[in-house]
Amino acid sequence: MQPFFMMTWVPMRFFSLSVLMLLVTLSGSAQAMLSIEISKALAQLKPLAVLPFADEDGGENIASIVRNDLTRGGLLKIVAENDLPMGLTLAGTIHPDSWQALPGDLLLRGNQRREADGKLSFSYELLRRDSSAPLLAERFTVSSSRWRDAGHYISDRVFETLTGEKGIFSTRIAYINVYERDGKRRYRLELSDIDGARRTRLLDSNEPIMSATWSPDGRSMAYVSFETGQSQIYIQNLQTRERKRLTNFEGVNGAPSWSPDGKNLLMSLSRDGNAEIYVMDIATQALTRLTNNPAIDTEPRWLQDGQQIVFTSDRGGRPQLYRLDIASGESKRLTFEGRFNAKAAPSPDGRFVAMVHDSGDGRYRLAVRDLNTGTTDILSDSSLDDSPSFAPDSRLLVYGSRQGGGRGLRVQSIDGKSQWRIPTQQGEIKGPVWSPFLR
Amino acid sequence: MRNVLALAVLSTALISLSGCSTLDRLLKGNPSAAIEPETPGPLAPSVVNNAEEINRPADRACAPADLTALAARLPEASQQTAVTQSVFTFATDKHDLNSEISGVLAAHALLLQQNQRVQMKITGHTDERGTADYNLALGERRANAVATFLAAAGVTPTQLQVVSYGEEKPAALGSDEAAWAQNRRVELAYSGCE
Repeated sequence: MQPFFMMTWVPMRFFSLSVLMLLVTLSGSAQAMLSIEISKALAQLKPLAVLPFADEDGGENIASIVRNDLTRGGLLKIVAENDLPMGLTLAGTIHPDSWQALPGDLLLRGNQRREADGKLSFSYELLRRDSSAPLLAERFTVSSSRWRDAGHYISDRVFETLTGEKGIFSTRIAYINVYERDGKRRYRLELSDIDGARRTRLLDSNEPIMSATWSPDGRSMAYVSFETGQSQIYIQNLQTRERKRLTNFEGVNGAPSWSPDGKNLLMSLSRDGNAEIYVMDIATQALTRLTNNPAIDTEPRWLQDGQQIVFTSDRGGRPQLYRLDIASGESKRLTFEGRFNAKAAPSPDGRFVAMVHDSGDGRYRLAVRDLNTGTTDILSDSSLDDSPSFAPDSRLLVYGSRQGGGRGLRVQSIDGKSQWRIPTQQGEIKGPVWSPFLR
Repeated sequence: MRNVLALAVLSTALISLSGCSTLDRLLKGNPSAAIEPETPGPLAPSVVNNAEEINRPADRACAPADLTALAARLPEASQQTAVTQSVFTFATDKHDLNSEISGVLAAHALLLQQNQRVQMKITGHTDERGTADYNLALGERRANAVATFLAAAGVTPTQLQVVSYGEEKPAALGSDEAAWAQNRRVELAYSGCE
């Protein structure tokens, strides 16, 4: 018991005795309880101070990226930049009295330097009051274009060390940007860091692009493009930009979703008359039909076990979510609350399903259903939410929402404590999807 | 005041972290390799424009004058209708055709029957509310309702092409009932007059 515990939960050593006791007697099903306990234990800790890195280059300081990331991550308390002691760059051994200057028990400090070949070197360490050895220390060199990646990497490492959970700061968000050029609407598929920085364009078209979705290995995307004059499903490799059209059927070809093993794609096709759910073997392009109903069946998503899917259907009169067991072909209605529940987004840990929900007041809002308890919580106070998507930590969600005059993206944690916006730069952005872990 | 004091203590301890031996002991794996290969490279986006399709004569939209000429053999009451009435709006989440729409479609059915080489593209649209993929299917339901009516009225099905754009191509921008009402629609477009 003990060695296993030490490996998985090293950081927990620092938490209260009650948490330790809990861990020792823990069974797998107590995971949720554990994470609550961890949050409590962390809340008792004083915050983490991320000091500006000693910068021998004079460039933008990477500590600001790390500080922003960890603040957004939610679980940790981070000292605000304004509350840091002025002009302080720490290195070497810290005298016990020095901690008095810091408003926390944890300290991240580091150094950034430009090498002769133009590459950037970073070193950093995470220190704890009353502990002479660093909790974490690393040094690495990356090409200068990877400056932000280096910041997100440090955030991931610090977050994992302190919480025991993998950080999501190096993941990316894909979305559709609708903009105007020469008075005409155009459509782009873009990727950005989770704070909206560093936009990369994958596709630019004069016809709509929609329903982007990540492959489970994070290397490819599937999406719907109208470039032929009809909705068709494509897959595209993010590195090579190589594209492949997977469908060429009459009618709607939409709502692609990758299977957990990456081999199959769920989709909604109306080739046989009305929108039905199909699964396509990507290698052979062989199709299997999963639903057979005169209603609209669309927005299929795999549940994590790979045995069941959840989808939107209006077979009961209004759009609601249904769960289908692939082996038996049996469907069961999943949502009963409210007038409209659609666009299911299962959490990677299999516990939650996020959706767009209208409780009857005509507002389309983000809601999350806990599959363990069967309760549904409405998480937003907006009115035109769309396209929820879980981060790989199953705790943060991105979704499309109305912002001022246009559509933008919001990120929020399911406990509501952490939230931020990804603002529109040009036109509208919508249809966001969060990547899986990319390393 | 306390901060200033601590600052003085700390600044005496300023040595480069890279010389720290704890670091070397704690280093494991290769963070540089973990960071370098990820995220898409700086390649330009693939640009797709469907101009080639639009430029095929059979796909080119009919000019109003050509359409008026085609409608000349229609009963007088239907001529104007078939030429000018090409957009129909729908109630929220509905796709049924009211008697007014049916009346207009009857004139279009006649025009298509009398001009077999002419094609009609029927595009279905929704407002922005709800979800994009459900709206894509809802837009098709509206367009199909129109196509089914025309086929039942005797139009050769191969003259008809149904496309749903869902909420992707709104006629009116804005997020109010007035804009939504205009966007829940089916549009008809003739091609192949040349």
